[in-house]
Amino acid sequence: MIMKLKLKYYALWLILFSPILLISCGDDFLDVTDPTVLSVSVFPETVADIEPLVVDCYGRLQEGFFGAYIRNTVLLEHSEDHGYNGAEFNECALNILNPDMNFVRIYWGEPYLNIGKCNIVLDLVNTFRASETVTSSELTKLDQYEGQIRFIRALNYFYLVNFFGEAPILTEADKQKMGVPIWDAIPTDIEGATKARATQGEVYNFIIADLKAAETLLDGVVFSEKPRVTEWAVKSLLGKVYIYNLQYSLAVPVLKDVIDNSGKSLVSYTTFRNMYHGQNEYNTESIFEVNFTPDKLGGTDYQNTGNRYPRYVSVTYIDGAGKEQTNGFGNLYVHDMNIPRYGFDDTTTVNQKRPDYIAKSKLIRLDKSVDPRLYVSMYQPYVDSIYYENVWRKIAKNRMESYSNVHYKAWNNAKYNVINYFWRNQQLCEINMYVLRLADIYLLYAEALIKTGDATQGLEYINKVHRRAYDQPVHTPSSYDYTSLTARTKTVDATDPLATDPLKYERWAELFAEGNWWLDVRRFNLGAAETAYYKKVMGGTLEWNNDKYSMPIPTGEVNSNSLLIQNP
Amino acid sequence: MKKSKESEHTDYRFSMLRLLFIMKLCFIIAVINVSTISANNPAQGSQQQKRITGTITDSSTGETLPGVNIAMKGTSVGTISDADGKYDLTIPDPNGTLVFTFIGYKTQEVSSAGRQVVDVALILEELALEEVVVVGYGTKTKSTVTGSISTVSSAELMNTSAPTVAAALQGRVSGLYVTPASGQPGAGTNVYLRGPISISGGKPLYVVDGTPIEDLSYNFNMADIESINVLKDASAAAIYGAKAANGVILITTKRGSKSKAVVNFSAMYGIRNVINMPVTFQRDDYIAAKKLFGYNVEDLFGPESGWSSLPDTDWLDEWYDPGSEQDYTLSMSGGGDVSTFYVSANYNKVVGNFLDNWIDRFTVRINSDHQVTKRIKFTESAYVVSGIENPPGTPGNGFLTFRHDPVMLVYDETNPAGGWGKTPKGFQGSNNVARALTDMTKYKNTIVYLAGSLNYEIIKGLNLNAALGTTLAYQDGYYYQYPYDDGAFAMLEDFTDSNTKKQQYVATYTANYSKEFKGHAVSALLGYEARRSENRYVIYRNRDSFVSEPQSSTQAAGIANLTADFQNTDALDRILSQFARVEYGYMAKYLLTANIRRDGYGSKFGPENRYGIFPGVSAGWVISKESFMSNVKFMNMLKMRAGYGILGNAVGQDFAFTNYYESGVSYDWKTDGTAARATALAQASKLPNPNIQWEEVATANVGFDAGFWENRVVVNVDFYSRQTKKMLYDIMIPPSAGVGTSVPANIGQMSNKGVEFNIEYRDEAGDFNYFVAFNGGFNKNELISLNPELERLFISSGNIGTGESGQGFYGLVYPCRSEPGQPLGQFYGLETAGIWATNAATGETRPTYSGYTPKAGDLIYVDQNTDGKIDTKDMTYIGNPWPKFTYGISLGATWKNIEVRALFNGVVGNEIYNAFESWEYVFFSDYNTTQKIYETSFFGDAGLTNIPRAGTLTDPDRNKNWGAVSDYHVQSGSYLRMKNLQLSYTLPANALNKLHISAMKIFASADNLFVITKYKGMDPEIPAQGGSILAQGLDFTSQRYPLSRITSLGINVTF
Repeated sequence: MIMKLKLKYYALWLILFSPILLISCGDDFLDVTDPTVLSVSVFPETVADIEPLVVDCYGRLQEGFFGAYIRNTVLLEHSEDHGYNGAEFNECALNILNPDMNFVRIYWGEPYLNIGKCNIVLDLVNTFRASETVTSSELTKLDQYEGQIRFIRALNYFYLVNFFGEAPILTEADKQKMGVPIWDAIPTDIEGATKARATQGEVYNFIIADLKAAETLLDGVVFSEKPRVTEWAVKSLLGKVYIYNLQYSLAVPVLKDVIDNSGKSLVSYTTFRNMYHGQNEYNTESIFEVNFTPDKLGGTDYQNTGNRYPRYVSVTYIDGAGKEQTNGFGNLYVHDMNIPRYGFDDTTTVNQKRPDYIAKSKLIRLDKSVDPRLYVSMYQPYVDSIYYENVWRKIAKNRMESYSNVHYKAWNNAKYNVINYFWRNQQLCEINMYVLRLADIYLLYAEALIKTGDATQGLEYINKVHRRAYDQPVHTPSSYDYTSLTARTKTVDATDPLATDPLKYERWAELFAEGNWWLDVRRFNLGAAETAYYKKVMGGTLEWNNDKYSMPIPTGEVNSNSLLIQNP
Repeated sequence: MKKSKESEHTDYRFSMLRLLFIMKLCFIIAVINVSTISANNPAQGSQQQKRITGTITDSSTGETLPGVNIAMKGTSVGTISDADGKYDLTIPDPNGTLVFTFIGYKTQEVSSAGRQVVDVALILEELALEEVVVVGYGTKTKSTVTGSISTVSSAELMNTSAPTVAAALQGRVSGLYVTPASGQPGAGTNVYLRGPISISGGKPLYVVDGTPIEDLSYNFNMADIESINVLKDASAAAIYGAKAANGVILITTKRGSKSKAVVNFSAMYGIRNVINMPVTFQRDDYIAAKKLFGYNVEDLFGPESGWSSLPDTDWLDEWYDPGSEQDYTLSMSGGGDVSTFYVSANYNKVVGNFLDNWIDRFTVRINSDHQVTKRIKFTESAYVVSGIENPPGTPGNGFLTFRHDPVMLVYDETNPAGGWGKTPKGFQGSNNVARALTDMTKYKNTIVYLAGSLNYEIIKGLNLNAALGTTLAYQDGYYYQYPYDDGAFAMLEDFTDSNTKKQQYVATYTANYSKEFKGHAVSALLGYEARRSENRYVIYRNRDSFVSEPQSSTQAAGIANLTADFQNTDALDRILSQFARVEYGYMAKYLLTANIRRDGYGSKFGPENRYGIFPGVSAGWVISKESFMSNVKFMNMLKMRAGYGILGNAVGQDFAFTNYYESGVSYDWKTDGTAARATALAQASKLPNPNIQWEEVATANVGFDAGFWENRVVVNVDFYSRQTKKMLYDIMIPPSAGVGTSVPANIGQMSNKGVEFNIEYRDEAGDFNYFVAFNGGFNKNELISLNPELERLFISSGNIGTGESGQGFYGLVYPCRSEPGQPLGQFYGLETAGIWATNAATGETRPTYSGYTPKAGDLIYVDQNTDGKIDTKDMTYIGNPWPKFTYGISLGATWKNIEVRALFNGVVGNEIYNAFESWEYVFFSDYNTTQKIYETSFFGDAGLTNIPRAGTLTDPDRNKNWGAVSDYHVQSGSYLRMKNLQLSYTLPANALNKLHISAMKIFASADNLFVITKYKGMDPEIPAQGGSILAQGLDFTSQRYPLSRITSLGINVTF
């Protein structure tokens, strides 16, 4: 009886002590690893495992500048003005930036994060290359990874040095001014996580070295996937960078190579007009795009493959009930001063519904008395329409939320805008962003030729771009051609800084609101002249000093990087 | 999609049914328990019987006590004293022992040998000198405690509506600073013991009946609590080692005692109201003020003739309604010689003030103790909580956002997409009523706590104990969003199903030996403990569900346009510990305790740094027991205490010492417009730090306890100095390094020094009994050092930029700075010197702000470096968010059957950064504002006032009067709050006897009745931003769910 009882209690003891066997065996018990992630000790195992890391480096191009944040640049360059008193729009339009601004943090942080990921891939490529078991087909694969990644890294540095460099490079001396920190590997400890700013010249040299390496690595490589970096994208960016770095004679052969051998050609005017809204992407003119696709996976904005920028520039239209609606936020609209710049001289602001105004507006489209790119860049209220809810609906003046639009023309932005469906239900849209296209390359080539003494050929390449705008054969002289490098452009105002400078005018008119003009304003030193031309924005009168060429480096960097010196 | 009233009723009825069912279940269990107990009873049958009578009184008042339990030890024979405190009992054994038990009084045992009349005076538990205090892995009599421990008894917690243990402790424990995280039902609290523990924060460790539990939130039935002991100093808490640095809160739940079954029922119902709500403009005032601010109101609202027919909605009023609280508890306890039990069932529901927001819970507890043999005791606690939370639907820009437009309808039948009012021109915010009512989110929570321990007394004084505790927590998350369009936003149909599973196991083995000889008392404890927890989270999301309000993810499977998303996270936590304690006492006068613990923490620290050793030592001298004190009549007790110990604080992320690959940002290789995401992986954006190790917290504590005039006055005082070393913090690293923005590192040292005291006075005058208890704590916090080698000279924190994109007036600024030589998280910004009265005269130079010369009505910023520019270089320390003194006052009085209790709490000497104020004075973006805009300088007809300019649309506030961090917005945060007031009436016993009710009490209670403060915001109790210790006192209230006032009625019946 007693024995039995005792046994019972032993059983109880056993039950209570058994967990100790289950949950604790000395040090082994403490050796745990995070079960949801891949440890660096086990991944990547093969060369093919690098592919998803390369995908990530492409994917990150969707997050910064080419994500919705291009909106800040189109305000800085005054392509757009804004009708919303928030979201840092006022500060951007007035160019009164401070290091605490969110977009400044994004412009700095996202490229560097992407560069960090690129550096990891490049390190892995070298490790695999050095391994004894690597096969020749794997070596080819590694070369291709490296080529693509070096291009992406160079592209990120290109934007960094242009936004945050101490001053635009106007002379050789400017190359000695402060650029940005150069990282070619990720740090391994905290002490090693701090770097001073390299000079602008050093940054450009670094970019050029990357691109030249990529040029070799991707030589002759043809990917089946169109969104990937090609040797032509590499060469196009290299040519562009040479020009930004004042190395015109180096730019000429590289750009000529692209023009002659890439197989690219300018698309027709009709295609040109319809290549910013989700159609005609990866066309014959396109050299590198950031690919966006409507994608509801992931739910949040982050980690999606859709474009968010169109929300901010959505057009205002008149719905079936006669009410003004917009297909997104509709925060940005074209700065009024851009309309006469394209040659549209009607000064009416208040009564754009006037029938004679509308009739005249239609007429000048046909006779091409204004630059036709006006209608590629913007939508004219009460004249243009969008196809929406299965009906063509008239576009109205931008609603200019919170502000009165009575004294504004308030044309709607056309580039990268959704115009043929109600897209808020999709939240994210498929419109791609052009990073490099042939029209840009023609104009850069023209610039390089002019700088190296071949003004005739230079003018011809300016005219090629110009002819396409007027729907003329690109390679044949036309009546619309500029006759000299100082010919009068379409600008209404004869004192406009672009009035007698076809090269700059064409860069502005052709690449309007694509995120290029601000970089051109910098390198052409047009800040003061442009300020005088645009005069004011919704938030007040524009003021200029040359410090405004450089964005302040964000507080997060300044506070944690003791070696870093802030821009003046 | 509006939720119908009908379904609310159904919910309610359903809840009541469930409650009844659980109560029934509870009774069945109790009855089984009781019958088992009687069956086990060894003393059956009777030989000789004897009749005993007597009267039971209260030892302090002399009043007779009705309802006292009288039982003969070892039998089921017992009775209850009558209305006059008299009893009459026939016992089977003339020499038996009588046990007198009564809630709130000490149990007494008296032998009946040779007596016919046994009169007993029961001693109030609270006044009992030999009160038992729970310490780590054991108990002690209060007089022998040498550490700093505060005790709160169940009587103090009764009838308050505090939803959590931490909230219940607010104002009751000296040195404990508690702030509610928000007024949302089920919201947590921020708890600081003796000031901030570390730069990275830290939570107190909760230990329930010996089992460490990660977080005690709304899930705990407060009525089950017998007592709470807070271990405040290192010498007391060191036995808990690694997680004990921010204090250990030991909770003891109620257990049965040998008596006839006592059944108790309590019910409470209360109304919640929001207080001090801001009042934003209604239509006519809104249009008028907008016009003055520079808007073209005809453009926005049409011609003036039509304004009176425009909508006129008070959005804050639409969002907030009175809420309610209800709580019902049924409990039964009792037991026999072998086994005792306590069973309870509870239902609690809190309906929040924000639209469509509530939380409820059912709980059942079964605690039982079994003296299996003379030497073996088995103790068991089982607790199950099950409840549903209906969280508030995600408001667009915060619960108190001014982003609403009175000229907008709540409902608009003409809107085909849901019938919701659409945003008018000039407004891009959201319809927050639509957001609340179309969001069908529910969380179903189930948590099971089980703990058992087996104690074996091998020989007298030597005990082996094995204890196992486990927590199994499940949460089913259900989210369904009805599609709608309110103009600015189109919400998609969206369904998410998520599942969280948390498992925790703790196994503790201790051997304890204690012996007394010739006045020496020695005891030793050895222990071994393993803790393991595993969390798993799985989420399934579908953006095109097949049916409205699908109940399961399978209802969306197999659909052509299905887009689904899947997430899975796991977490592991492992701690392995050994510990020991030695205690020595001589004549209960000289006391010494030493303890040590070694912890290994596998998931937080790398193999080199995973072990930490935490020692503690303390001594006590009970001076009042010395012979030379025998003549001191006024002082009946005096004890000096001193202790020193080191604790660990393990904070920060798991696996910070290693790096890994996680999912990256995917990209699409297809170009035909259809999505085909390529898999992306990326190394985590972090810099692994294999060198991170424990934070060490060393505390020295000196104190004394004194009792005067037979403990009518009791005083406890503690002085402490606490040094936190090797503080872990996610320090910022340059984003340019490409590995994220921060990395955890051990970087600094911090000091907290202070005094805390507790004074209680109780006395009586005839029928009138009263007490006053005052507790307070002074604390001085100072950051001693940060790591200069890493060149971390200060840490910036906090963010008051609210509004769209997380910015608003302020942009992305860090208003708090922590720098050596200063307390943590000081406000850091511009100093102001009044307001410019005039515009700058010709030739007059003024320091410019971002190139702007301030004009009349702008704040005068002090140009500290006199460089003519106001910028970050002119910033300085402008305020301290930490109180110098926190206190609580508890008052109580009883007169005959009436009792009044009040609890006040307060803080002194802290400051608040009132960022919310900016919304009240300025039109920002498309936000509404308040009448206060008329008080600003030069607004409308106003000339220069004492309030800075708000600007206008075309002449905006470029001096950032309302958008730069300046001392203009720093205000005193001192307050005194009446936390709780309650009035109760105990019904006369003779009226209840016929109903077989032994006691009945009805009460009325009010929480948060008033607050006395100079602070200009809604409420001076500001939760830490995101719970961050470095972001205290930032009032950016638009994101906050406002606190409520609660008034309730209740009843408490004992059978």
